[in-house]
Amino acid sequence: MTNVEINTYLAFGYLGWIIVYLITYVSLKDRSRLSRIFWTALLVLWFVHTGSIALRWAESYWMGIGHAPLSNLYESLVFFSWSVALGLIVVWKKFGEDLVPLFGAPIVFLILASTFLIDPNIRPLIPALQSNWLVAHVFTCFLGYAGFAVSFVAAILLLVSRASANIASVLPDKRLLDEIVYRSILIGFPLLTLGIITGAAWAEHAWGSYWSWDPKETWSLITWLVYAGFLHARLSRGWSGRRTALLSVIGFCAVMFTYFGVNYLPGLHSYF
Amino acid sequence: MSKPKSSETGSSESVSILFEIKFFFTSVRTTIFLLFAIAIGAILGTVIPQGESLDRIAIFGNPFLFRLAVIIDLNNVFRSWWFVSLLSLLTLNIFGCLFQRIPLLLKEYHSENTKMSFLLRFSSPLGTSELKDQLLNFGRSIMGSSAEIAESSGTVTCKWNKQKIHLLGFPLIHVGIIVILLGGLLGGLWGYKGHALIREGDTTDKFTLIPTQETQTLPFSITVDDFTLLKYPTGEPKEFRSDVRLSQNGKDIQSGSIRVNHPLTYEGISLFQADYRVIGVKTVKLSFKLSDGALEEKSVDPRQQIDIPGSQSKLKIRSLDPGTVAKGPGIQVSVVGQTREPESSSMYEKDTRPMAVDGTEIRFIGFTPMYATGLQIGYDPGVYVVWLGCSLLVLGFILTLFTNLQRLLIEIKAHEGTSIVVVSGRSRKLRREFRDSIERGLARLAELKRQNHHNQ
Repeated sequence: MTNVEINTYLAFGYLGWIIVYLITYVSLKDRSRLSRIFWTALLVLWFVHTGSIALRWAESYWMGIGHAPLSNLYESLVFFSWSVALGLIVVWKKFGEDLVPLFGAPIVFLILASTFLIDPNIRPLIPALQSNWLVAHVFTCFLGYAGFAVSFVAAILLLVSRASANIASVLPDKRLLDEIVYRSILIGFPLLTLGIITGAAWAEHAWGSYWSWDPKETWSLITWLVYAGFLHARLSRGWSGRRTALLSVIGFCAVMFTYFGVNYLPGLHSYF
Repeated sequence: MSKPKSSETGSSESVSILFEIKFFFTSVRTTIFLLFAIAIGAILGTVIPQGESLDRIAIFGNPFLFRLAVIIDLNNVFRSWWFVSLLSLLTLNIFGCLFQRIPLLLKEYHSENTKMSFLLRFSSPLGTSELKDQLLNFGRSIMGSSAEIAESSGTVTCKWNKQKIHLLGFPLIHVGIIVILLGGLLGGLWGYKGHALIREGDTTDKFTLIPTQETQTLPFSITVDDFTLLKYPTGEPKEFRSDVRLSQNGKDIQSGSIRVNHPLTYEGISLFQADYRVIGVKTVKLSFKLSDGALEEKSVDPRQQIDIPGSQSKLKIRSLDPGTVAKGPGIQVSVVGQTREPESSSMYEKDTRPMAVDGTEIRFIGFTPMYATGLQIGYDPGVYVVWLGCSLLVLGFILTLFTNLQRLLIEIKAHEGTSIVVVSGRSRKLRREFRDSIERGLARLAELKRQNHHNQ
């Protein structure tokens, strides 16, 4: 079985997990064992996901064009969904809150499912992509994005919770959600910083210019500035609740534009 | 730091304005505003194509918008007056905030500011020295180190401080950002970027500046000895490599290979392998099968007239088709001889029948393109400053995220046959967790009874 086939089953695995968890969550009264079962199931899915990425890495070597599976749109989408799943698992473990993973898992599914529309073939690396900085850059950027994605999920839940008291009664406590919004950005932000720095190092080696204000670089900076604003607003000005949740949502929109939107602008980064 | 009312700052107008300016540069509100303003400015620089003449941007048919676009340098946002000003303001703002906060950090570091965040009181029937041992063990388990113990007039004071280096995190992060901006400024003012297209075998010391397209001269000459192009079986480029020699005043000073992601640097000027062009044909490979069966293969210069072995005639290559037809690449040749009419013919790589001239069978085997290598030339005096700034920034993050300043103070005094224990603590991060772990740990020490004083 190839990694592409595994990814296909995996996408439906995540979807099935979401649907079954949602149904049982809503119908059952005693949810304590439920949490354990679905926690384990999510872990299993994530391990399979990890295996699929490792398999793709191995497959590229068997084909004689070995490289880390982080070099094109297909691979980055698979890795992004893997990181978001990891982020959800970490939040579940640290905060003991199972609704954020439940509402976040659709994002994992959607990203993985979108790969069905993309060319999944393993291709050899063109010269510009043959660099260890590439691996470090893509790795840290997407882990950062995962942190922001988790924050986004908690922020949406918080905003919905504030909008309606009925819904708020089934959602986690607002202060807990607020804490998740903040803490996941606290993890994502340094990772994004590292991602930008390693990207600059790679650009310096490949093209002699660590920063050329091309749309992708600039948008990653814009994303960085929004989250820097978030951290200052939270830590120094005491913002919390609705305002920080909104900032988290805006930040995630910037993340999405940095990842996908820039390909529709003129520039250098459109490998995809 | 809150802003006092203007009536409190004094009557003089100039004092008030100075204060406003100082407040502007030390306020985090300014920081947040500047961060978002720079972000919005940068967005403009991505949606409007940069570096192109404003006439080409369609929406500027409207004269008012056009004037506006000219004033704000909409096609060169990142070097525009307002964008650079925003960056400068941000730098000054960071400086201001650092100046304001560093004295406080220094005080905290030297333990002069020992304001604790919580205070717990206990009483115990045990004597001071017994309690001291238990509490010292407790403190060591929580803080991971031994206490500073002081005894005076019957009171035992035990102090623990953990990871004061945490305080270095905030200044490092912000100094790092300032250093990065400074490095960028250095590079922007004194750095340059250019491009040179050099044919295999050629030497040049000129290059074209980006983006102005002016020609500049390097302090040394570059000779391209060889350009190699390797492709994957699927046809995509695997590696391009230029083997070059640098020379000054006729003397070779450095030689090496330039590959993508592996530049060559001399005296701060770096040469990068950017791209390449095919600008001609270097050699054509032909095979000649003579009438006696002997087989000769020759790589020939396509510009020369070639003697055909086993014949008095000569062959000249007129043009080369790199592969527009199914028969693959091919050459168009003319054959001239003393005893024959000039003849034109074509030979393709995949032709089964050779061209015959006076008993010699000629076949076209292949060709080597003449390449010109595209080198990117860069000089950036600020780049090491930027990397220094990045290191400071990363170090600052590590300290901020992975260390935590914590203090614990336990005072034991004897009081009318019992002992009073006062426990106070402070944690820069995760305050609640710190306090909870202290309270839980102390609750396990059976001989301590919690006192709830109204002034606690």
